[in-house]
Amino acid sequence: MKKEVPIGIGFLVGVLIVFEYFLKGLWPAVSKTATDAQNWGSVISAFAMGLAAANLIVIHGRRIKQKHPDAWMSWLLFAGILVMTITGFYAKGTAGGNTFSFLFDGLYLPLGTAMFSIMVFFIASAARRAFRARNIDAAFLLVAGVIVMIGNAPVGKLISPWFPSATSWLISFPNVAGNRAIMIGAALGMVLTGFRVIVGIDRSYFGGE
Amino acid sequence: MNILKRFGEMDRRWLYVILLVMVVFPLLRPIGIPIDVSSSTAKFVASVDRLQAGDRMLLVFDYSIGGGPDVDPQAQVVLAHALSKGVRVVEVAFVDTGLNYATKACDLWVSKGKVYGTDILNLGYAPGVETAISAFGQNIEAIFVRDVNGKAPSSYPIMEGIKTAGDFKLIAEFATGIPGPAEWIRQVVTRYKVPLACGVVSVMGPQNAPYLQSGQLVGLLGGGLKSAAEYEIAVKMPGAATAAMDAQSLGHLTIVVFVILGNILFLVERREQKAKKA
Repeated sequence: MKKEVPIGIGFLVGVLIVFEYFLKGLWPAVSKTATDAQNWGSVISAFAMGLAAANLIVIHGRRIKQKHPDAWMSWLLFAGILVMTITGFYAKGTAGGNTFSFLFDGLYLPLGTAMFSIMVFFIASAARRAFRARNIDAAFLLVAGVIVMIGNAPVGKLISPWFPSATSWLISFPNVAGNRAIMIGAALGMVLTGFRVIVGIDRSYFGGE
Repeated sequence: MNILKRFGEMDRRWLYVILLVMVVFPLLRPIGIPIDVSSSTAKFVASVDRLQAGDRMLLVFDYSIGGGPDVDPQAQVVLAHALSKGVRVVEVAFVDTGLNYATKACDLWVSKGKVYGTDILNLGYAPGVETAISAFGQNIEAIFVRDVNGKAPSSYPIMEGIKTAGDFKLIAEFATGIPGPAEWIRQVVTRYKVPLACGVVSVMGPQNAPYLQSGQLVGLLGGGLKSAAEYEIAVKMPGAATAAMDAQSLGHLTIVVFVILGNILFLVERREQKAKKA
């Protein structure tokens, strides 16, 4: 029963959602049940965020208890969670003129964007030593990359009108052809995986083999 | 040859300084490199231009903090363009950080005189990614029982007659990952035949190009900040993205020069090694 009941529930919900997708609201009772099932999915996702927060608290709580050399970082994390949660509750959905907004705009946003921005320095460093035409395949990739990089910046047209045209051709033809093949392959894989889950062959979603 | 070898042995922190100077200089002293509007951006602009005053558009803020500087200027200019035409905009987010961008944009336009609930509405954030998008598509109020102010969406004039995602005249989604154009196409476009235009970070542009070619997207801002600048130029609303284009151009150019010099150095070193072996 431990396996049969989850497989049965998975089968029923899977079939319901597939049927509802194609019925397009023709059968209101089916539509309503499918919407309810999807809302449960959304609620479970919200619980998963809470679970992740609880997990983080357990891990960092253990670090503090064990007096780990980096325990001060865990204290910092707790302070961050506490401050953002309390100020978030007081913010009540408004963006301007509150502490949550001040912390989000003044701390979280610049730190997040800075983390992303420093990648450009690693790219600059890699440009000198790593992006090398060691063989014919790498040479093709490198030449295409350089053309697209120049063509995608406004300065490309100033250097030569050929760069934007070549960039457009590379993206519209070789790129689209390759991506389309990947997309169709992935879509077929998704259909097959979905079918395996619905009929209970794939049981990995409840920890099975 | 000596210069090349010096370049190869240069401390990488000097490369960082060169790049920093090349990016900061045009921000302080703009060069004014002309910006051309690409066909995919022109299609996006046309899809918003086709809307009439009073039409309802859904604006989806599916972007994270990291990709925000690339995508947020796109969302801001599309919102400004739509509102300037009298189009009414409903905002929603399926990425948690997207809610903050949506709320800031909404508050900005309300402070400029747009009426909340009539011209613009912020429904909030829903977790659940593709499942939530699918449920939203079928019945908006089933997933957003209340807006960010705690009121039922149906209590606002802007939501009159809007029950499913298919009731909007246009959906504009801005994404930095998942959910992105693929999820919206699967769950909403295919089912409700509603036009979808997307704005994405520049690394996602090429992988979404097939959707534009197939007509599943009516417009694509696939070049990140550059696409935002193109949009600003096309609708004559120059802003932050246009101002940043000189810096982006010189940044790209610097990295390309590093790549070319690095490869010349590589070929020289390889030739020298072969000569030594011989």
